[in-house]
Order: sequence, then C-alpha cells, then structure tokens
Amino acid sequence: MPDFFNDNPSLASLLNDPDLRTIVDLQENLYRDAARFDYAPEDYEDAVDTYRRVLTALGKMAADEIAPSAADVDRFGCSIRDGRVEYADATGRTIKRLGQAGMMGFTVSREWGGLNFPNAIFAAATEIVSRADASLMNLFGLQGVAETIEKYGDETQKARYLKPLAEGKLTGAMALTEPDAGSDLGSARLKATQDGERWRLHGVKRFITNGCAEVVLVLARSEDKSADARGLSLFLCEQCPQLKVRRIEAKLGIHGSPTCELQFDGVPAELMGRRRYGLIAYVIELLNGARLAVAAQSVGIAESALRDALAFVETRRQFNSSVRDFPPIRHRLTEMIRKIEGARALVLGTAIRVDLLRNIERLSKNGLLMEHPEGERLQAQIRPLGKLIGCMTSLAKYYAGEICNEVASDAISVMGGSGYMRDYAAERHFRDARITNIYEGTTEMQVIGAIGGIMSGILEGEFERLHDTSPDASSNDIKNRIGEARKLLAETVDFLRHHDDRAYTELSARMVVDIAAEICIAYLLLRRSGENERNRIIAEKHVRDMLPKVRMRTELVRSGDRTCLDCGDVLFRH
Amino acid sequence: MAEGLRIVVCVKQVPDLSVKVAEPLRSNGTINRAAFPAIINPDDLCALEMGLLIREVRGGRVKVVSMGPPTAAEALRDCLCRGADEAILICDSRFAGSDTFATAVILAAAMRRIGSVDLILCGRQTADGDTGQVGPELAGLLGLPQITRISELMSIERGHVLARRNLDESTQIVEAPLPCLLTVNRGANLPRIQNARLTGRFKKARAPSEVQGQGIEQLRQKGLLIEEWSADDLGIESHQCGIEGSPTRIAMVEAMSVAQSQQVEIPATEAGMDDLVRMLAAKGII
Repeated sequence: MPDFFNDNPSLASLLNDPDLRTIVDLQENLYRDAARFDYAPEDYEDAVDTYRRVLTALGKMAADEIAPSAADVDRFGCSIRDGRVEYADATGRTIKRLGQAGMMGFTVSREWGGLNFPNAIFAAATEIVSRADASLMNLFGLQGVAETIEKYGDETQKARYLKPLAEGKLTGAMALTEPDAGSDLGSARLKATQDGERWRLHGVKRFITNGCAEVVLVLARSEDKSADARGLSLFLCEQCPQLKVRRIEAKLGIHGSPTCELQFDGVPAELMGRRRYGLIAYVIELLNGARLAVAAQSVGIAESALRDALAFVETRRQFNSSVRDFPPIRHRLTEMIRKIEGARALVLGTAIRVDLLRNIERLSKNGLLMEHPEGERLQAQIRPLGKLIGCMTSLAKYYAGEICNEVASDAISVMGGSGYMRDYAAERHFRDARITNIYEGTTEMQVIGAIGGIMSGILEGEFERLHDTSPDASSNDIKNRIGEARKLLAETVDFLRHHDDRAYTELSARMVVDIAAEICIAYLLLRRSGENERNRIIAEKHVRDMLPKVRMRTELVRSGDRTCLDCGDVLFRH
Repeated sequence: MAEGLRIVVCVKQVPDLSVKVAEPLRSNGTINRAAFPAIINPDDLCALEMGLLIREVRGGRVKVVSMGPPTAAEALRDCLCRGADEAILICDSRFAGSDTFATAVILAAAMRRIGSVDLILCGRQTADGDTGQVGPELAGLLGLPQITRISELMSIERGHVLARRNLDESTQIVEAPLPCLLTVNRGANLPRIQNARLTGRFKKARAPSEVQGQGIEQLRQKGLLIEEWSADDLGIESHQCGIEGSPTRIAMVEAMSVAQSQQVEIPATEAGMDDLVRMLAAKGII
C-alpha cells in the first residue's frame, strides 16, 4: 500500500535524529503525562513509535485518498453562494476525516484534546499532506490558531475552542492582511472599539485563508490614536451575521483553499492576551509557525514535482535512449534532489530548534525547568535560541519557497511539452508552488528577517555547534570546504559592517542569506551523510558545488556595485 | 436497547495482494502469505466502519472478532485504533486448515459465548479466499436473518434494519428484524483511518498468547487485554474444525497467467473505445 511517509526515507529519518530525543524528553516533561492520559508515551521509544504510526497512517491516507483527489480539487476549487463558502467535496471530506483521526490538533496539549506532538513531527505531517495536495495544507496548517489560543487565550477561551479545533469540529483562520497592509502589517487599520465589556471589530481584511472558519483570530487597531505596530491587539471572533465573506479570490494555484475577503461590521470579539501585544508578540509568533508550515509545504510540493519527473523519465525515450541518461537531464534531476534535501534538512532542523525553545519556555513558565537535570543550562539558552529561531525560520521559509518554485519549474522542463499539459500534475505543482515565496511573508521579507541573525553572529554560533557535532567520519576535505565558506561569509559580513551603507546592505542581503543558507544546509546534510550512499552523495555534491557559488556571491557583495540604487528612474520608467 | 446496540464485527487478516513481491506464489500454486504484508481484509474494514457509524448514531458497543493465528492480534489492535471498543482473538492450532464452513462453526460458537448480540457485521468476502461464504454460513448456523452484499445501510430503527443490496445488475432494498447478520460490500463506505490518540493507547493491547501469560492482569486493568478464546473455551471438538471439520477439498490449484501476446493495448480515445466494443462483441463477450 503506498505511503507518503515510509516511501520517503529522507523524511522518515527524522525519527532517528539525535536531537529529537532532547526535545521529546522536554516535550513530555520526562513522561509524566503517562499517568494522566492513557495515550501518552511512557518513554522516548514509546513516543517515537507513536509518531511513526501516526505519520504512517497519515502517509497512507495521503497516498490513497488525498493525492488521487488533488486534480479534481484543483479543477473545481471552492465556491461561494449567498456569502457561504463551500470547499471542494474531497477537501471537506478530508478535513472531517483528519479531525476524526485526531490529526487536527498535532501540537495542542493533551489537556485540551491534542496530541502534544513536537513541531518537528507536525512539519513532517505538513510535508506529507502538501505532497498529496498543496491546497489542503492551508487548512491542515491552520492548527497554529489552536496553538495561539492555548498559549495566549484565557481559560474560558481555551475550554470553548481548543477541543473542537483539535477534533476538527471547528476550523480556524488568522485575519491579518488588509488591502493596504500586506508585508507592512504594522499599518493595519481594522478598528477595534470597546462597547462596555465587549469589543467590536469594524473594517476589511483581505487574502484570508479559510476566512470562512468558525474561529477567527483578528489583528485590529485597539488604540485609537496610534498608527504603528504598538497600537494593534489580537482578537478572537466567531462567524456571525456581522462578519461577511465578501468574495473568494480567483487565483493561480492552491484552488482547494478558500482565500476570502472579509468585512467586519461591528463583529463582537474578545481580546486575546494583552492589549498592544497583538503584532509585536503574538502575531510574530503565529507568523513564525505559519512560515515554517509554508516551508514544509514547499518541500512537499517540490517532492511531488520531483517524483512526477522521475516517473516520467523512467519510461520516456528519445533518440533511442532513455531521457534519464542525457547528461543535462541528469544534472537537472540531481539539482532538484539536492535542493529538496537541503530544504527539508533546514525545515526540520529549524522545527527541532523551535521545539527546544518552546519547551524550555513552557517548563520555565510552569516552574518545572529547574527540576530538569540540565535546567540551568537550558534556561540560559532562551534568549539566544529565540534569536536563532527568528533567523532560521526566515532562512527556511526563504530557501524552501525559492527552491520549491525552481524544482516545480524544472520538473516541467524535464518532462518537456508533456509537463506543460494538464494531463500531468507538473503544471499544478508549478501553479501551487508560486505562492510559497509570497504568502506568510515574501522572500524579500524573509531575507530581512534572516540577515539580522547573520550580521549579529547568531547563526555563526550555531555553525560552530554544528561543526563540533558533525560526524568525525566525515572527510576533512568537506569540513575544510565548509570552513572556507564560513570564512568568506565572515569577511562579507565584515565588509558590509565597515561599508556602513544601509541601502547597500539591504541590496546585498539576499546574496549573504544565500551563502548562510548553503552553509547551514551543508552542516545539516553532513550530519546524515553516513546513513546511506544517497545521503553521502547529496552531501558531498552540495559541499562541492557550494564553494564556487559562495565565492561568486562574496565577490558580488564586495564589489560595492550600487547601480540599481543609483540609476534613479532611468531603468524603471514604463 | 436503552444502552445502545450490541454490535459484533468479524474481521480477517489477509495478505495485501496489491503489493508487488518477488515470489507471490508457493511451488504448489497457493498464495505465499509470508511474502505479503498483512492487512485487515478490505471488505471487513467497511463492515467495521458501518458498525462504528451505527454506534455514533444509535450508541452501543462494537466488538471485533477475528479467527486466526496469534499474529491476527495485530488486525484486532488496528480495529481498536480505529475505534472498536473490544477485541476477541479466536486462536487455536487445531483451527488451522479450517474451510469456510468450519470457520463459520467456530465463529458461531464464539457468538454464542459472547451472548446477546443485536447485529453481526461481516465483509462480503475476503481478498484471499474470495468465496463470500462465511457470513451467510454463520447466519445459517445461528438461525439469524441475513442481508448480504450491502452497499448502503438505509436505516436501523424500531428493531429493524433496512439496507440496499448491490447485485450485479440490480439493487434490492431489504428489511430484516434484529438480531441479524449483514455482509458489507467494499465501497459501501470509506473506512476511517487509525485515530492518533487511540493509536497511542491501543498499540499496546496484547492477546495472552502474545505475552505468554506475563502481565495479563496488568493489561486487563489498563483495558489493553485482547480476549483470546481457544477451541476448549468454545467447546469445539477436533472433528468440527481444522481439516477434519472442513468438507471442502481442493482438487487442484492452477496458476493463471496472461501471455503478452494475449494483451491488447486500447488507446484512450473515442475510436479506441469503439474498437474495444466491436472486439468484445465479436468474441461474444458482450
């Protein structure tokens, strides 16, 4: 029986990652839940065994049910009638079945009916779902809404919403974007006014994934005279007559996911957490989760595109030869594989670090951290880990979104004219891929998010740790090459610091981020290079190809060329 | 029936014949079971789903029963992870080689031991034997009314079941009083997948023969014991089961294979379809 988890050893090997034990031990609070919940694990092996079983069940469902319906979901999409949004048949059915299987509350704690799985396992699940149907991930991935309610909601809100969300009986949405507030969320204008004890929301939100959800988290301006991020709070509201779906967008891809325009005409709402913390604390965290989910979605789409291309070239013959034997095709396929493996390593590696921080913070908040044998050491990690995660999440979202588009495009190139036709899924992957480097923060925003951690040396500290824990068996040549790339990165960062030209730093940031991503991936691939021949080849190929690209980018940054800044409007008139 | 319906679902562990393996047949032409992964018979999963759906609406309990070797406990664990309330393994080396009739005799004894039952659900047929006989034989032995080959359970109320039977060229709507036995077609529903929370719990369920008598009480206390009944527990004599109790004799098994020269490729076009119809008509197939 096909199974999108176990047929992908690279993904399945997450369960063998040595860092997983650390986070699961923390996540399970040394397995004390086992006394309270009959489905909680008794030890690490028990926990991992359950992860494997659940991901296998999801992997089979993805292969058997979700993937075969994806073309129909894409063709028929969602619809709206009298303000009521309807999913494609298969989408509605699948969400219900995932809820029935207890898989709509992956990271919600057991107390509220969830599975209490780490983010890393949720990221793997997200990749599996996205490989089957990219658009389904947009609904599956909204589990972050429950996570936010659990973390910042009051007890009444938790009791009212968490269990039904975890069981899939309710779905969630996060309403952030407005017609004039996209990347610049701090300028959001949707107004929250106080009506006695109750808040009411007035305004418009746009591009809201699953805006028809029963539970909506809304970013709104609660402070009357404010104009920036500090005047925004997070609210929770339910579907009601005052909340109207004005329309759903007609879009290029992810047709199964309803993208709604919402009109708030005095919608009753409750404050979530503290006033003024909406954007600067809660939404930033919510978005970081969503970015990681989109990064995992990107890997899933790319994996599907790759497999379609591999299946195609297996039988396709031209000039009396298998297409797979043509050097340019072999090169393209190798690059697709290398990029996917790199993105997956980055996504899962980031998710593991998110889990580490989340759990240290949770234990610290509950006063349990010092009971942990390494409590003090872990406590000291909170601040640097927070900064590292901010950087790595942006790095993962940026890299995965970009390579997803490249791989989806390459799959069509490998398949030639056939890939362009609707007879194959490649064209759907290409359309679905296109959003991944736009939503939940564009590539440009991710570069800004990542560059701070690179310039400040936060990422370099992580490289040092990765270097020290890299397998001894790896060849010195590989480690030396990565070391040389790090040296070039440090020199480039130094150059920018001394150059002291903010616009130029922004101009060069993407190339610097590219260098950092390649180095980070090199270490992560190196860690798994001893597992099998495939991993060894991929890691060595990545490191070999990396250095010339790093040199090129270093040279470009250090050229100081400001043409596109200095040319005024000469090039940009239309 | 204030406490809901007492439902028993019969399931069988079968080889997953959809998987490609190197040696699918043994030298004597029978299925090489060891080569295939074991799964719950797909029709039986539809029977289980029907039982769980009835329970959701009418309340009650769903018990799953499987006759097989100790390894069949895995199929029962799978059913528990999908939502069944209890599981019973019918296991005895004397049962080996039982044909459909002997199997029905053993299952009938199990049903008598279970006691009062409102509804017995079976898959229409198994993927390995393909006879479709066990369900009807079981109903016959228990003297229960039966509706076979169900594609839809239309209602279950006032002590009666109304169901749609899917026959090859027609459908029938049939009513039967409870208690009764239903056999369910594959495709009658979409069986649910394993629930993640139940998986965390019931993956640890064990039948006594799997733990060789160790920790049975602990398993029972945790609600993780799969009941296990032997021939003696069921009062089955040796002559009623196994090869001795099986009237079926296999005269010959022949492996069929279609040669390349017998295959015809039909293009997926209107003209291709016309050619196909003409060809089948010429051979008198349609």
